[in-house]
Amino acid sequence: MRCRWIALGLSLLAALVPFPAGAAADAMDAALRDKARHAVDGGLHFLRETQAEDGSWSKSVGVTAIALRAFLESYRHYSEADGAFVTRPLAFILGHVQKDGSISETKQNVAYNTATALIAIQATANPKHAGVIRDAQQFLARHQIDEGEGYPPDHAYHGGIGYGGDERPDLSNEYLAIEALRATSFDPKSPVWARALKFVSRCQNRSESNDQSWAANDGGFTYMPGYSPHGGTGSYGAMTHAGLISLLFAGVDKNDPRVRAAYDWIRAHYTLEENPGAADKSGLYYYYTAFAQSMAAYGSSKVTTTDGVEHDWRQDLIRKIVSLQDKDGWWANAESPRWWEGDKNLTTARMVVALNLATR
Amino acid sequence: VFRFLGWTTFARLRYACRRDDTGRRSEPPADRERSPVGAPATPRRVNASPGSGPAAVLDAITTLALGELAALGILRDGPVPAKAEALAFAGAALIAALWVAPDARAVRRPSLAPAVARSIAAGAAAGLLIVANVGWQLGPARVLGLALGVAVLALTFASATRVVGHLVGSVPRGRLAVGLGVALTGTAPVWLGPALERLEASQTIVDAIVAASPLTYLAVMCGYDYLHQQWFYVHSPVASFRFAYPAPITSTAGYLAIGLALLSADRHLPERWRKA
Repeated sequence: MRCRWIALGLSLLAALVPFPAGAAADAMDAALRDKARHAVDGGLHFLRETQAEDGSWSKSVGVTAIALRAFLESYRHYSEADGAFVTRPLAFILGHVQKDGSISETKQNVAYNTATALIAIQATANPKHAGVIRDAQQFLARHQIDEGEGYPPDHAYHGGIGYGGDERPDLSNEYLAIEALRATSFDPKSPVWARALKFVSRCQNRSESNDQSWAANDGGFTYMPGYSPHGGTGSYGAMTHAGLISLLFAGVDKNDPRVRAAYDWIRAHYTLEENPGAADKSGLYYYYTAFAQSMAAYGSSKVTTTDGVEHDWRQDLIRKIVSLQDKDGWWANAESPRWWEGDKNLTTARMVVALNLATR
Repeated sequence: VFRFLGWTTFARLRYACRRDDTGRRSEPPADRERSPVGAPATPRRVNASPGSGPAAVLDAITTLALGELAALGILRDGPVPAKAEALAFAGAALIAALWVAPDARAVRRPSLAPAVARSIAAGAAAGLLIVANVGWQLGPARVLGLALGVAVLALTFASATRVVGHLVGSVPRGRLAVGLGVALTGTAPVWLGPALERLEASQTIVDAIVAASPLTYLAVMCGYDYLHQQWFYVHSPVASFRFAYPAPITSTAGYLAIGLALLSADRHLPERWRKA
């Protein structure tokens, strides 16, 4: 009886203590949070079953890094102390550190792999990896397209980052690199940021800040200057969220007109039933991850759409992602294999990362 | 100076092909190709001389001029990655080398040495074109890799053109058939892309289609991820699938094996099948 009173007293005390960081998650319906955590557990369980002997997933540094991140950022707060399921993928990633600082098993997706690996290594919070992180940061900075590759500031490619084996940049790789550099506290005075912002602005349909002739004025983003995989140069959801993340992580203020325009596009096209602006279901799960990242970075749990309706993006996203999970714990895009979304390991890892952000 | 010399040489060679000493249009002068023991010697054209030495040098010069013209036409203006530029020059040199290669009528039973000499000349021409236009930005290993790639493909496709020419009984048709085959396999990642997406093809199938393209072979020889390059990315979904390029050594061994097999087939083709 006495214990019960003590517990009640502690609960009341806890309720009175302000804790803004977790306020959004705690304001969430408890049953829904439990559902999200159950889904995270299911996804992580699936990933533990599909992990290869060498600790990797899908024999890819990129997929392994995203899966490792899913474990480290989960509500269970896994760390290297928890065992081989964390240390082996980390060893796999570190085993692919190259002389130039990149981290990749292939030359094809070297920038993508390095950025995702950088984020995962940083998530371990182990100071032992500082040298690897520094070298990878330098690789990404060098990899950015500028005059060194023969692209002057007025060229649409200037400031961009591509997959790595070529020199064709895109907003998807750019946002990942920006996220990795931001997560690892890369020098804020580096010219890399200004160049990156130039490229990011050239992907936005906002003629006031985009000097490209094709630029429209809806505020959304397209895949790369002058091209969208869904046709023309139209804005679509996944890239608009990637653009918003890029702007915010590169240090642009929330009141900057570019950020406001992107956020307004998101308000006008708020949906989780599809990747708005996309021609089909390809890249749908990428959209969910980018959605979670940009909304978390923007910092408000409520989105008031242009029709005046208020939405709780965390609850909406959790409901949607949970509804798409297979009973065996995985997610995969059954309608399109593009961008590797048919790979259960990658898509499951991405959905766990999104759920981690939504429940944080 | 380089371009002027190349073009002058090219023009003179083409002129020599079309006209004899009196200035009349005529069939090109002929000499004798080295033949296998017991086989009758056969005539061949001088300009497309399949012998080694001076003939191979002339082939290389012509290839240089043609290749440069074609590649400059492809690249036009605007910054192009050095690897893409090198790839364009290598591809142009290859096409030019095949254009000046002796056909099924000119070489009845080819010997290994002249065929290899011509291939090496084509590779050397490609290397020179790349160095003259792109410089050493790629590094010597990649330039040599591309030159080797052009040499191997030149051997393979020239042999294929002659064999097919013999079999179908028409040099132009033989060229057309091989040209069509090369064009189809070379662009397979583009035109097969939508079908691969619809059928959700496995990585093995995607890898096989990517590996079958001669363009892939040249790209891997200079470490260029061409499928992520803007034009290919816009026109083919393949780069958004999971795939891996073949190892340079595997592709080289494969093309070389096919090339030597075709060369051998060309040498040993029974007379009754030689319709050209």
